[in-house]
Amino acid sequence: MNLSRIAPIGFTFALLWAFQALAQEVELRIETVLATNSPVIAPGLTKGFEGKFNSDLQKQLTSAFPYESYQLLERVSRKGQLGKREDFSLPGGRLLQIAPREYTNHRIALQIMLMEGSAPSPFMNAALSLPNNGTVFYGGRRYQGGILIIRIGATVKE
Amino acid sequence: MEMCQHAERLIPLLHDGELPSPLRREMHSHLVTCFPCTRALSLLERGQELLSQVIDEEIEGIDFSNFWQGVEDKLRESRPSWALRFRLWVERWHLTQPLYAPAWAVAAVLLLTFGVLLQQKSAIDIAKSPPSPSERIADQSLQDSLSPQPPFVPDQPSDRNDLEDGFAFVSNQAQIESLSSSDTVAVWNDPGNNSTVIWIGSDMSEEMP
Repeated sequence: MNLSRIAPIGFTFALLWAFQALAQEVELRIETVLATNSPVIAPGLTKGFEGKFNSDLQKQLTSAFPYESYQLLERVSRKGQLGKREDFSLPGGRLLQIAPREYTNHRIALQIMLMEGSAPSPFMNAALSLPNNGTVFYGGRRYQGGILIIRIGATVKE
Repeated sequence: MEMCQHAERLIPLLHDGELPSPLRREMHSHLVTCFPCTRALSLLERGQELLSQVIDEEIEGIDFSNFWQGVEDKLRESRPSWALRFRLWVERWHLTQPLYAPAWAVAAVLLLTFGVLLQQKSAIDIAKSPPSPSERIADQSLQDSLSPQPPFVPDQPSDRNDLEDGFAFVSNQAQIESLSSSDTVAVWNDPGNNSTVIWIGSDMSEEMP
């Protein structure tokens, strides 16, 4: 095989590699917490946390919400791509759809849709942007005598 | 058999319809008076008829019911491999669009350079020193004027210790472009951890923190 044949093939591979570089990977993190006002049993504590909470999640929950106890129901981390929708199941038959749209100025634009019901219909649709590695809280839906709080995080590897 | 000069050269041409009009008319006039030429033309026509008859009889004996299926089978059998077709395509393209190998090599190098620069761009941006608080507030105010979002809360140190990790400190607040819900929605920024909360509930007074 001579150079005149190797060069176009090399060009093709370089083209594919360049396109791959353009398709950025997005890591989506969902942490679902059940917040209740049931009394804290452990002595010396003003707030109760059940489950493997990160320290930053604990502090954020304590700062932002006035509930007495928090139970970590689920922590999911998934790698997706810009423009590709990811579906996350939530307690109570709910569904969370997140589509990372674009990444500019170190901010990730997301389209977030929350759905519930036996024939899932969207009850919340939001277009927002987060700083890279940032988070946003969703709350307010009732579940098993408490309130669901969902922390959504997104990270683009730079 | 006695033949005139016309019979030798022109009768086959006349039979095949190859003669131009003036010559053809002249030949027809000649055939009226020339018996050898008339006979030669008759023999040619008879020979043609016999040949057609023989061919038709042979064709009638052949079964054509699976003819097209056979053609398709043969085409499928003789389909060249993917590699061969790709090579033929490259060669044909190379013939119609002659480009020298150095041109391809330069294009490939440019593409690779572009890809490397693209990947390094973000890292270079982050490595820059963080903007001063006034610059960040000015930037945030500009963003406020461009898109609807929750009220601005000045940046506060986060729990992630971003500066120690070598990253510029950034606000954790979300910028909301659009928000719709069938229920009541409340949005606020928690100053304690500088993050945005979206609260959706049908009975806000009872559920909202």
